[in-house]
This record gives sequence, structure tokens and C-alpha cells, in this order.
Amino acid sequence: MKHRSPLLTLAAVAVAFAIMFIVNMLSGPPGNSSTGTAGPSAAPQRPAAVQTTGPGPVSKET
Amino acid sequence: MASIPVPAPEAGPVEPSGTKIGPVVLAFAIGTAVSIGLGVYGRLHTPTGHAVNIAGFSTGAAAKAALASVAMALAIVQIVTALGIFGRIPLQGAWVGAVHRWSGRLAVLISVPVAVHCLYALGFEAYDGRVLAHSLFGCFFYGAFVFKMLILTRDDSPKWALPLAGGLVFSGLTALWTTAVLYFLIV
Repeated sequence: MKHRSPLLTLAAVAVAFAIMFIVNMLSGPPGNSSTGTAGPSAAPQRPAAVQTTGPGPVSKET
Repeated sequence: MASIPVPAPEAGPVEPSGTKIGPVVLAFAIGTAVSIGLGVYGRLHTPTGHAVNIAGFSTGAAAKAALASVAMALAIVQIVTALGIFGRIPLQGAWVGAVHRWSGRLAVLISVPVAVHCLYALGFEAYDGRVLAHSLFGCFFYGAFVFKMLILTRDDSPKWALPLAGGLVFSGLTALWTTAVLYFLIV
């Protein structure tokens, strides 16, 4: 017997990934009302730094 | 003229108990490909440095930490219910399986916004050990998840395959949480 529900779960996760990527691509850079910053989850909060998209690993922490 | 009986071709290597290792190897290969694909995307994609935030959180980091922590809590529910399903602890009843399935589904779905934020806004980075480990574990987690989901569709997998896959998924999420949220909380 083959179980289908895990494949449905996989599909749901894939769709969720796709939706989130599309939403991010359609949204503008910070400054739009619907967007936020890519605040690093692992670094001390530096509001000015995390708003930038300049070179270097400033906002690379995950 | 009598024909010589020809043995039926086997579908693949068969373990003594009648289980097949081939589908497990295939599922593992697909999971590995998913992991590598995510890593390659994260490396090649130019990080945007920004991503959609979730309403109600002060920063993207806070949102990610909260979502990842919920996923981690659900993963612990997964482990406890899995121990019950395999008879290692006295948990019985149909609800155990249902809780196991739905806690897993919710954990992975809740992790998706976090993962997309990491991939899209930050990319696969390796500028220090923690970030490299986090990037690797992120790719590993979703590959392990795909591996487990594919194994679940088969009844003929070896008995060790599902606990192994579940353990890999749980270990991946734990490592992810440790290298990001725990670091976020203590530093």
C-alpha cells in the first residue's frame, strides 16, 4: 500500500516555498509599507546597518 | 520442446525480511539533491538584504527567532510522539499518530518563511563557522525532510529507515535553531 499524505505534505511545503519566494520578489525593497528588514537573527540589533544592502556581510547573519 | 524456467527478475536488492533498500537509497539521493540544490541557489542568488516581514514583530530577526522556536517546540513533540509510536515510552492511542503527523507538518510549514528569508535575503554564506554551519544545516534539514516524506510512502522500507530519517530531520532542525536562535538569545 502506498501512502499519499506525505507526498501531499511535500507538495504543500513546495507550494509554500513558491508563494513566499513570489511574495518576496513582488515586494519592493525596505521602505514599502508591506516590507520589513532582513534583520539578522544572530547579531546585536543595529537598525541602521540592517537597513542597508551594501557589500560585505553586514546583514548576512541568519 | 520444454522451455527452461526463467526466474522472475527481482525489483532490487531485498533484505532478508522482505524489505527493499533500493527505494531508501533513491529517497536519500533525492533528498541529497534537494539539499545541494538549495545550497547552490543560496550561493548563486544575489542576496537582496531585505525580505517581507511578518506583522506583529519588531524586526525580521525577532520574527524568525519566534517562528523557528515554534518549529523547534513542535519538533520536540515529534520526537516524543515518535517514541510513543515505536513503543519506547507509554503513549498509546490513535491521537499519538495524528499529533505526530500534524506537529511535523506544522513545524515544516512554519519553518518555510524563515528559510525563504534566509535564502532570498541572506543567501548561503560562510564568513564564519557559525554562519557556515547554519547554512549547511538549513540545506540539510530540507533534504532530510524530503528523504523522510519519500520513505513514508513505502511500506517495504527497512525498519531502521524511518527512525533514521526522522532523526536526521530533528537533528537538522536542532542544529539550525542552535546556530541561529540560541546564538541570537545569548549573544
